[in-house]
Amino acid sequence: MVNAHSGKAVQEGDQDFHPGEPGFSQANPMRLKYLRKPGAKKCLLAIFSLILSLQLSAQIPDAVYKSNIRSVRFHLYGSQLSLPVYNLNSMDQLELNFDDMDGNVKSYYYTFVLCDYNWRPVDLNPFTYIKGFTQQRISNYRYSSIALTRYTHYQAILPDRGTSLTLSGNYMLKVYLDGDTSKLAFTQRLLVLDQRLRSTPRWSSPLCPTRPGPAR
Amino acid sequence: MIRFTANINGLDSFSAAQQVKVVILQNNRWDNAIRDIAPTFVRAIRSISVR
Amino acid sequence: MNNGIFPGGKEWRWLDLRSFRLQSDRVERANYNKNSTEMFLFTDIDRGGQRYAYYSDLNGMYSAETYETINPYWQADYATVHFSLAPPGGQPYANKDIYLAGQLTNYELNEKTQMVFNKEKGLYEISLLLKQGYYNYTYISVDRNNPQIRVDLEGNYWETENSYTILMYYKSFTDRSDQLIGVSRINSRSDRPGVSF
Repeated sequence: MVNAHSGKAVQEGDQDFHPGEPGFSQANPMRLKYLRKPGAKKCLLAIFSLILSLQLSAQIPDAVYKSNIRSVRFHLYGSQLSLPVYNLNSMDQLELNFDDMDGNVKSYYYTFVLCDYNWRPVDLNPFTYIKGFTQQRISNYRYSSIALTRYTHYQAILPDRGTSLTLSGNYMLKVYLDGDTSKLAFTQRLLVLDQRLRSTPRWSSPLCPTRPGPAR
Repeated sequence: MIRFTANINGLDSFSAAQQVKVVILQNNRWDNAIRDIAPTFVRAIRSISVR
Repeated sequence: MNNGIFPGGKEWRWLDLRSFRLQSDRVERANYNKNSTEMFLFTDIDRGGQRYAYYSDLNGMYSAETYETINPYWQADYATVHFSLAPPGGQPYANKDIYLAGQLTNYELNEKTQMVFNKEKGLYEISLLLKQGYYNYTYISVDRNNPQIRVDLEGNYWETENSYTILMYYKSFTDRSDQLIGVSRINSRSDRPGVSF
């Protein structure tokens, strides 16, 4: 087993750190706590250099399988432009929204599927990474109003109180009809984070001269 | 080019660096994600020697 | 095409559809039908020859928003939105397919997102059903002879503001799956030392 030793680590070059864009601020308070901890001598440092070939990933878990599904949005609660990253054992909430253009009411369910680094489902029993109910019905829906276009809007706040994910990693959120995963409506990516590494990304000079842009 | 260091002291495997993999996303996109980045050790303070 | 670095792209084109009644800067005209709405946008001009210009954008994403109604999720409307792009000289790009891309199309390059060249008008055209909101998009060209080559039609500029997220995974010998043990972010503009905007 690997145990988290969060808090013991000190990173190098933190004076160069600038907080990232808004909406991702959740990591920052912890970062400050980190900085005050001693123990730099024990550090083992890995440096990643990103002069690498661009590889387009073949797997697309963000896929819509039914043509009546529109405007799927999945992100941190209240922050549309954020990645859906959930901190393990936290109170984080994610928000899922989508429209069904058929305009009627259907029984949509969701579940989580643990995937590997390459987004391939891991061959593990869901009970090893889901505590509680393995599927949930999306019971919160509304018919469109005011709009000329008729649709039914569905919303879910995840994870539900009755469900928790117990392993960090890549997850595919599957949304399907009638409790039958073969009636798949769409999938979305979800990240479950167990933050044990802190890194200090910095730009090296020259910055990304992929193509000669206009001289500054 | 982005250069970054990560402290892997919290991982208890001696070959942790070989078992760390990185993905980089631009603007939260997955379609052009950079993957399979292996870390390069340039320094190991204390005990562990790494190629 | 590149040495493995993300192409910077340009700042994204924008489309403000927060209101269908108030036609925003990119909307030329609209048809308000009894049960549907159609929005015709001004033709986009290939910006390839222009200098880089910075403006704040959503980095390709979109935001479901309205300012006419209360709730953007179940009170916002949909419209069929007609996009057009003018290539230089009104001629189609040789051996290239053109796609509209952004979070609005999930960055998918397929028959639904490919633009069709209209010979009579000398324009590439595409129509999408979009919900009210604020959108970013761009045009991607794909080389027919070498589909791996996908480039932002309008060139790449290293000054372009982009955000990067670094995900770190770990799998010990006893783990059955890859754990996600670190997430860090960096912005190409705000995080550059010595440069402030």
